[in-house]
Amino acid sequence: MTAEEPTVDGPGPGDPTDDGPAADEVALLAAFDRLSPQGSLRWALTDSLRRLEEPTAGPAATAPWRGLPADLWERGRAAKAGQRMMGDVVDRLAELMDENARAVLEAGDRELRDRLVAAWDAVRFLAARVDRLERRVDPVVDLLLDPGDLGASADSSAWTEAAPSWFAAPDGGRPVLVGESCAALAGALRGAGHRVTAVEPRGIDAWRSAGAAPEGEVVLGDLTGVLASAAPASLAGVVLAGAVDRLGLGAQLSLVHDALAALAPGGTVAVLTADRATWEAGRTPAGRDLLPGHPLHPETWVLLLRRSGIPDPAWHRPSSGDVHAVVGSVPA
Amino acid sequence: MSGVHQFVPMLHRHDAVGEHTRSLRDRLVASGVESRIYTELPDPRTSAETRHFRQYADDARPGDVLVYQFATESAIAAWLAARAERLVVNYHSITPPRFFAPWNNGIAQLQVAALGELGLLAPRADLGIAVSHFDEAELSGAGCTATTVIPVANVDTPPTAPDPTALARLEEAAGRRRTAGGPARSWLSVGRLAPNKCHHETVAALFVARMTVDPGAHLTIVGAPSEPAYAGALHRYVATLGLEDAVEFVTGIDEAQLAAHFRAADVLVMLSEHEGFGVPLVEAMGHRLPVVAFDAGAVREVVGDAAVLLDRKHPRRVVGAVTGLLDDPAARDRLVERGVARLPGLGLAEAGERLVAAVRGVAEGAPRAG
Repeated sequence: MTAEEPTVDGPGPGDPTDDGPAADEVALLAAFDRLSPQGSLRWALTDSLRRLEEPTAGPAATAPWRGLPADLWERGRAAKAGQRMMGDVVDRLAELMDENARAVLEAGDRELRDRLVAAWDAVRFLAARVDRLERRVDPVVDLLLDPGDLGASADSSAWTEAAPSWFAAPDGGRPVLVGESCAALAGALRGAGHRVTAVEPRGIDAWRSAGAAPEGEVVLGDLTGVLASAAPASLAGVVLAGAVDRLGLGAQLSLVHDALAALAPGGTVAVLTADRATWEAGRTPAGRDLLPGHPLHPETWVLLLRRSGIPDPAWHRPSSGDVHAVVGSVPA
Repeated sequence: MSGVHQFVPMLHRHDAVGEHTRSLRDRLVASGVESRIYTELPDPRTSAETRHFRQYADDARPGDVLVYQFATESAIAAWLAARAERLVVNYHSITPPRFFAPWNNGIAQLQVAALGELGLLAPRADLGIAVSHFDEAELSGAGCTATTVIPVANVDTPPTAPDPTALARLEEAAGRRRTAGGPARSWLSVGRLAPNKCHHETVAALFVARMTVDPGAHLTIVGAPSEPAYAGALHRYVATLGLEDAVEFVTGIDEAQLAAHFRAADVLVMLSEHEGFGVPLVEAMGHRLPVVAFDAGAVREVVGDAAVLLDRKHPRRVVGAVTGLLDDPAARDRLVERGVARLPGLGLAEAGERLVAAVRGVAEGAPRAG
C-alpha cells in the first residue's frame, strides 16, 4: 500500500479558514467528557476491589491509573465535622492498613504489598463514599435552619397515666428504654415498678429545666445510637419518642428494626408521634422543607410495626394534646 | 515439513482477529501444512478447534513455527518468549492505554502490559507481520528487525451483497426522514463502541448538523459495545442532546445486514483516533459510499485519495466536510470512483496467499521478508 495525497474536496486538511473549535463546540464535547467514570468515587472503589481480587504482577497493578485526580479523596469529604465521624473512623482504619502495607513493602513481599495497597485504596474510597452518604442523609439541617425553624418537641405528657398499662408486669430485670422528652412518662413507669433507662440527647439538665425530677438512669445520647448498640432481647419495652418525628424514612425504619431486635419476647414497643398537621403548623416553611424527616401518620406506624412482626399494633388517639400512640408487643 | 501453529488469547467467531486466525489455519492446512490453534482461554463456540497453549509442550515437533496473533495482553506472550521454536508475530495493533484510562482502568493496565509484551516478543520474532505500515512502524519501534506488511486476510472482495429486506427497510426509513424536510442525510459510523473510535465526536457533529444545515440528519452507529462504560456514556450523551430519534445503535448483525447499512447511507463518517487498518473504510469503498475520516493511524494509507481526510475534527469542521462533499454530486462521484479504483491496489485478495507464503518461508528457513 502507498499513501497518496488525500482529496481536498470540501474543507479539506490544512484549511486556513479553520480557526479550530468555537467555545460552543468545546462545551458540546466537554459534556461528553463529564460522562467519563474516571475519578468518581464509585469508579475508584470498584477499581480498588478489582485490584484486590485480581492482583497482577508489575507496577501498573499497585495503584490506580495515574490519570486519577489527585484531589479525589478531598472531593469526597463532608464539610461538617459532625457528619465526618463514620468517614473518619474508616479513614483511620485505612491509615492503619497503610502503615501495615508500608511495613510489608519494606519487607519486600511484593504480592502481599499489592493486595494490601489495593485493600487500603478500597477502604479509603469506601470511607469517602460513606462520608458522602452521610452528607446526603442530613445535608442541611444545622447549616441552614435557625432554631425557630425546628419547632418545639411534641408533648407526650397526655400518655403518662395510660403508659404503664401498655407494658407487661415488671420482671425486675430488663429495663424499659424511654426516648427523649418523656420525663413524666418515665416517672410513671418507675412508679409502676418498671426499671427505666431514659435517653436524652440534651442531657439530664433538659429534664431538670422542665421541672421533671431525674430519677433512675438517664443516658446522654440519641435513641438511634442507643438502640443500635443494645444487646438482643435485652429490653422489656421501648418508647420511641422525639427522634421518630425528626428522622428521615430510612432512619425511622432502622429505628423500628433495632427496637424490635432489642426487645425480649413479649416486650412492648410504643411509638409516640406528633400529629402531622399540628407538627407542620408549628414549623416555618423552611423547617418543613428542609428538615430531613417529619412525623409519619399513625396508620403508617401501624403498618410498619405489623410488617415488622408485631401481630396487632393498636393506634391510641389522644384525648388531649397532639401526640398519637401506636403500641404493640412482640410475641412471647 | 513440520507444523505452523497459531497462538491467540481467545478464538472468537465473527471477530477480526479470530476469523483471520481461522482463515490462516485453513489455508495452511489446505496447502498441506499441519496447523493447530492454541488459546489461553477457551471460547465455548470454538473450543472444539483449540487446545490450551501449555498443551503445545506435549505436541511440539522439531522445526515447528509458532505464529502469535498479537492484539492484547496474554500469558501466552511470556511463555512464547521462552520457547526455542521460530516465531512469527502477526501484529494486529494495540490500542494505546491512554484511550482507555478515563473509562476502564483495568483495560488500560492490560494495554500497558500488552505493550510490555510487545517489547518482549518483537526482538525475539523471526518475522513480524503487520496489517499496515502504521502497525509495521510500531513493530519495528518495539525491536522487530524483520517485518512485512500484509493486509487483513478476511475482507470480502467484492463486497458482500446487501440483505434486500434490511436494505428496503433502511431506504424506507431514510425516505420518511426526507419527506419531513431538508436533505435528511444518513450518516454511518462503523466500529466497536470503544474510546479510540470517537463515536461521540460523530454524535456531536451530527448535533451541529441538525442545528445548522440538516435538521433531519440521522446517524447509525454499527458496532459492539466492547467498552461498556464508554458505550453507556455514548447512549447518555445521545439522550442528553435529545438525539434519541436521530441516532440508532446497531449491533449483532451479519455481513449482509451490514452491507445494507453501507448501501443505504449517504456518507461514512469515521473520526477514530487509532486505526491499525480500518476495515470499514474498505467496505465503504466497495459499496461506493463516500468517506469522511480523521487522518490518523493507517487511515491515509488505506484510503489514499479516495476520502475526505480531516486534520482537525471539531464538529463544525466535520459538518462542513460532509456537507461540502454531499452538496457537490460531481465531487462525490469522483471520490466514489477513486475508492472503487483503489480497492484492487490494496492487495486484499492476495493477502491470504501472501500470509501463508510468509509463514511457510519462515518454516522453510527462507530469507526473512524485509
